Amino acid sequence: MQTELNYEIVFDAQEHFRLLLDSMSRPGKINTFPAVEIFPPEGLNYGAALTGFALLNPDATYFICGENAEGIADYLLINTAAQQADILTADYVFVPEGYFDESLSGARIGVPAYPEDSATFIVGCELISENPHGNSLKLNLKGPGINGEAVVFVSGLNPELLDFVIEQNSEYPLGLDLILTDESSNLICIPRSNKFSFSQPEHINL
Amino acid sequence: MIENKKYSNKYNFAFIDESTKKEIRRKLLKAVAIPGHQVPYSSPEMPISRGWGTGGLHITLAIIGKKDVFKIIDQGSDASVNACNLREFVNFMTGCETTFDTSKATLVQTRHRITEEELNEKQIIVFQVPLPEPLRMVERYEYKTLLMHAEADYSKMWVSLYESYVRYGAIMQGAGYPVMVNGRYIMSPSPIPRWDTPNLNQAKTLFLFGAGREKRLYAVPPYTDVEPLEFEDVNFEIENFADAACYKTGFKKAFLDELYADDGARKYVISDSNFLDKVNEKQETHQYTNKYIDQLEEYDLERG
Amino acid sequence: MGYVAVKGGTEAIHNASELAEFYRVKGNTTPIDIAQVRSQMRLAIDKVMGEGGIYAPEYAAIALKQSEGDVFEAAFILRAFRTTLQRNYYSDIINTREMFVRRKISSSFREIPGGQILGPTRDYTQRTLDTAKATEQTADINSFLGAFDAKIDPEKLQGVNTFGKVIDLLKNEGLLKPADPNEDRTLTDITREAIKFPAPRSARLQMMARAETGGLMALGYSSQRGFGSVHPTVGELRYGTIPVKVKDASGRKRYIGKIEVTECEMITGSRPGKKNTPPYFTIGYGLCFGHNETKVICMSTLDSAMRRPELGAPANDQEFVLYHTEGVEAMGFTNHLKLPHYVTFQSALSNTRASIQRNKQANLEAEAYKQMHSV
Repeated sequence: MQTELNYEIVFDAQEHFRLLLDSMSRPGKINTFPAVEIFPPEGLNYGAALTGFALLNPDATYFICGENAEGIADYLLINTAAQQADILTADYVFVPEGYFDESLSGARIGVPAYPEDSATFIVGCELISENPHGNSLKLNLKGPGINGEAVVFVSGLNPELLDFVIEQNSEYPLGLDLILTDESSNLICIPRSNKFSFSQPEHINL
Repeated sequence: MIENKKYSNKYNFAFIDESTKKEIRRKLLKAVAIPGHQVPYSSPEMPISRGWGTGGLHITLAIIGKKDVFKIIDQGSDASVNACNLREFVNFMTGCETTFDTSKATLVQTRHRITEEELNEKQIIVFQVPLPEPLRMVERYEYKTLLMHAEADYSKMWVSLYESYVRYGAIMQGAGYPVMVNGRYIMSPSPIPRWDTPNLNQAKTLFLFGAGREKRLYAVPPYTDVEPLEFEDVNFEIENFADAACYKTGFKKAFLDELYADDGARKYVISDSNFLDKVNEKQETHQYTNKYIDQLEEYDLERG
Repeated sequence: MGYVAVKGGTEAIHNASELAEFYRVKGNTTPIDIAQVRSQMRLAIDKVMGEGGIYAPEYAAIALKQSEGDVFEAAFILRAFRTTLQRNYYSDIINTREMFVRRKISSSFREIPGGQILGPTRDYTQRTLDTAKATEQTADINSFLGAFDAKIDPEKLQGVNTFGKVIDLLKNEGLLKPADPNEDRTLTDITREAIKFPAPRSARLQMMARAETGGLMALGYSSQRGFGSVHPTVGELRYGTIPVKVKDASGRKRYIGKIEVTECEMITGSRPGKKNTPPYFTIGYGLCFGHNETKVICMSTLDSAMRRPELGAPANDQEFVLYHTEGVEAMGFTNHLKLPHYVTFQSALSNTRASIQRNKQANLEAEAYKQMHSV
């Protein structure tokens, strides 16, 4: 494996960070990463890879959930020099599509004096859209960054993961922050300051 | 011939090394996720003095891109000498276009004022902060103020505001009026005049705050509740310019600077230099509105 | 107005910068050679390196020349320069027992292993102004060096020794307070993260190592005068050269060069323990780049003083000592008062005027009330 040759470590990282900053400041606003010719391994979509490149370096750690954890870890190590850590200490937790596991409860949610000393979840999805599609979950988002209320539809997301995040974020300012990226490089963020609820799609009568 | 590289100064884009940029970026995302909470960061030294804008610069340089259009003001003025120095520094280190026009800027760095013209969704404003800790005026120790924020125990602050009212008949906080952000953290908005404070509330733009010397970053996302601390019966008030008007334009509904001429005569002028230019040239402007400004009488905008 | 004013502002700062440079060179004297600063202003360079936090004598010399001898400014320049450099390694812990000693004294004992070596010091000279320095010529220097060389008898030269430490003597006798197992031994890097209180000792010593000498001196002095005293005696003060080693990528230890440091181990009283615990001694430690005895004496005094917060004086207060001796931050913030604050002041004026108005109004009403009820 070698480093991505088409990724510009100064300017791409800056441009992509601005998207992440915009998304975290405006939860529910759908941004899209520009096309960059990279070849992330199985289990890591473009958006998640670009998020990793923008934020990771030897001073930050990550934990990979699900399949091909070693492949993804090698890829991130080679491109960012950042090291893996276990779920209890990792700064960034990469969660693949549809995933949830009880072990995620080990992720850091911060302490009252330093609530920022907590994990950020980078969650892969199938599609993030303003419109309902397939069996997408409907997310209602309210809180800082949103003028009134925002509604987003996300497929490829495990509802148990969302229940878990709501639970972990119930004692604000402690909590987890989410970065969601889909297979088309769309991006939204849900900071812990957000009070969100979600509903499953109604069953479609065949 | 072997090139003598000993004294060659090659600077990274935006001066700061990529490692530090990433650290600042990671911390900024957390700051945005927890509005009003001060996040400690490494705050490396800059070729600019501590207390002269290193925190604002750290944020600006960590987020600025080649296509950004950069504006920098001090006390509202693009012409202020320190702003001139920092503008040159940022321009030299990034090659970015700079502007004085608030509506053209994509990234604004400011010392102690918000622009008179309203900033929009596409713009980011970065504040230079001297003292990030709003509770410092009632508690000198960092380890104690940290606990107060952790436990949301702000009683000392409230008592101090009450005592101020009892002694002077009003809450005697001038610039840098403490605010409650998202119902959870008391925050210092930096020493902006009270005139500007209400414009932080439910705004369109993202506000980022950098205190370099004290090594803290914090943020107020758009559409966030930012409430000046007040009592039900003793309210927050903005500065009163009822008896004043800008001597150049006659305009009254903006923050005015007080000036003294050589003969000791007192005059006022619009503080925001770009806003002053636009009003003077009768250009279209889009000023902030808030319930405090709206309460002022509509003043005649013609030269008085 | 905007464009003109900004152009005016920019022009003003450029002119100011040029004027400062004019002040530096208007004497029409020979440009100072960096080599001269390096060799003849050794102690200024050491102070600047110590406060700049980077061992680079040549750059310190340039900074001093650039700043017209302003040591605060020169240290600041070095700090800013340091930030631009890439960090490749952390060195191995330096071992001052390996020091090539140039000066070594102890106030605690009359005789110490290896003897009291006065070394290069002006401590025992009279501070009379030496006007001969005004007319010093190369010939004078050569003559001095020649005579100095002649005094060295090659027959009497011995091999270079390293010397055991005075504190080892105390330790062996069981006089030193045992190390506290609960002490926070985290190794932080204060240049990479903001300090958090209470700070571990690694952070406290790092901050002091690059603190401003005068600030440390004021606080160390205050402690000695009784503001939170720890009753210090110099166990050992050393100045000399030590080797620096790093581990390369393959794990091998490599020697990368040597630096001069000054070190002080200060014997102080320790915090009273539980009843029946003897009044052990403890050691305050100070180390800095180059030759700066005042700094390490005060550093080590304050190291001990900060471990006695219950004494309640500024020298015992971690936050007070560490925040306020940080020279670059202190110089920046004190001087920032020169920046325009007229908007901030306007806000205060507005409040004060309103308050005076209310006061006047209240007095008038009180007068009126008195009048009404005095008939």
